[in-house]
Amino acid sequence: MSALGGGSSGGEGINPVGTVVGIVLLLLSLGVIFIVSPGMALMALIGVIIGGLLIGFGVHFVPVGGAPAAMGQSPGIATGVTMLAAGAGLAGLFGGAWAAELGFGVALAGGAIGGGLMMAITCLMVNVIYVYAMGIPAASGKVAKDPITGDTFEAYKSQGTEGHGLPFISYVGGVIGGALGGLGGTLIYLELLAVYEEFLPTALNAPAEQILPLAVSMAGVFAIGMFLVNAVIAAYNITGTIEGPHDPKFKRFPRAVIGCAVASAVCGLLAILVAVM
Amino acid sequence: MEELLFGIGISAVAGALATVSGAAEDTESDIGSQGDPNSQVQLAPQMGYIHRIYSKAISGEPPAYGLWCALGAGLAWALMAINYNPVLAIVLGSAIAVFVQGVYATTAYLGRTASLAKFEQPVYIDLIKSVTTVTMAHAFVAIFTCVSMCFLMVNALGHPFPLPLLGLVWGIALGAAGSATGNPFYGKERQYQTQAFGAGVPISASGNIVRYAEAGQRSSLDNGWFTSKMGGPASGVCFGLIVFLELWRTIFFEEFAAGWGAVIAGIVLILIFMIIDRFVETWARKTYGPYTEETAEEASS
Repeated sequence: MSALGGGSSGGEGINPVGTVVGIVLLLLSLGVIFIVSPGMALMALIGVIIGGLLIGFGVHFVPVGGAPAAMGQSPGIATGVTMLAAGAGLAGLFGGAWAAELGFGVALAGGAIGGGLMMAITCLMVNVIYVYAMGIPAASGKVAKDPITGDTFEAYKSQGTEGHGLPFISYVGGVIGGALGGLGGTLIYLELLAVYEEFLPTALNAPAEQILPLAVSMAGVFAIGMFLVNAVIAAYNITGTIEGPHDPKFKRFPRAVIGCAVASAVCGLLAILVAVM
Repeated sequence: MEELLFGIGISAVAGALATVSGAAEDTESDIGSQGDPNSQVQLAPQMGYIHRIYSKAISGEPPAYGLWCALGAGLAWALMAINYNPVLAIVLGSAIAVFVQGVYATTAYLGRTASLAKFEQPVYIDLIKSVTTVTMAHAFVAIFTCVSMCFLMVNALGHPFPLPLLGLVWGIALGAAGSATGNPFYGKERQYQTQAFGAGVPISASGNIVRYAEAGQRSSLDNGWFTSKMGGPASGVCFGLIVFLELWRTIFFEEFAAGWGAVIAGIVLILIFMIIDRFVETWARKTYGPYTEETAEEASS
């Protein structure tokens, strides 16, 4: 644990034993669904896994500075990784669920844009506070130059800090992260909703119209739950704070992607078995 | 056309409720010191700085508000199911959720502060009496407005999610927006008011928070007074914009291009916000200029 609150430990490599165990679990989950209900349920589980991957990958884009950012001691948004990613992703899920009846593509795009818009507004307000209320210009602590705008940061960094505010690359990263989170969350919701709409009327012996509110609620709860599972796994992979796609910690994402795939497969298996069994 | 106008009107009301909710949420979290800057409140006694600041950060704002808003919305939904008037149901649901918040705040303050006993940080009973109720009052405003907004989304706009689920979704988003926007103002500008304006707090100053007011020791209520001038309203604007624009783009543009109109409108809005952000960033660089030692010395002298 450093003085800035974020531990730098965590390593960069992928643990081979853990990866093999994870892949076995993933294949096992797919195998169980294939035996119990091949076809639609299997495709839904694959969709859930892809949604989990998107969430895990997207969280790495979100610029989070944690507690040090609240004192202008490090760049990023002054809150937790999971918190912010969940806020954006669930705002996206709200939009995606609303657009579900307009078709798969529109709903997914609506979810992605909802998450991206939430982050676009939040990141802007963070910079407004830093600039107009605190008089602090943005400065990255991880790179000397903004990869998009070419702005240099060294001269603008306050003494005794690792940088502050949200440079433009972090802003763009936040929007991409929010969009990927919203996309992943909505994909999980839509896949589970399709499974519940298909199987719950038979399982509960009730007409489809009566089942619809239950199906929507269950798919929503499971989508939120799986969103948090994947966001927490990604947050553990990041260990503390991250500035966005230009941060060296961003390169750790393959490990989180594997972890999220396994966790989504196991969670998705249980969520689907609830209706299919 | 009438339906469209109705939808936009509801969006505006929901946006206004969200604005109040965001402002109350941030002020509540600053009075209770629940955001990330609370790390300094917890650190201060360990560095020898005994204080009278409240401390209830045993979870982040998003999960805490997710819980309280889901609880308020769930209770309101249950009361409405037994034919209570919606307004009364939302008031009662929010009030009961606030009692849970009060229990949470009290136990959090006692637990967190008692853990600092070996650094000689006392537990102030008068603080529990004076501050807890104020955080509860602000939390009520935040929860009531958030649940009311969710109620409008379900009953007037026809969102498919049930009320408790929407309470959870928007409670988490409320906490995320409020903590992201309001935390730096409370952390840097209030807790480290003695540090130079226009620069981040040097890591070496960590823990040395401002502990004295014009008369006597600083109270957490003073922090709410201060942050309600900027951090609170800014958080309100942030959450209000998120809610209003999300609803507005969907209601107004969903009819175009089989639903893709709302997506295109969202992309345009994101690009507009991106341009504004870039303007703010370059304005700060041009106006304030690079960091200099002299600036810091002048400000501190």
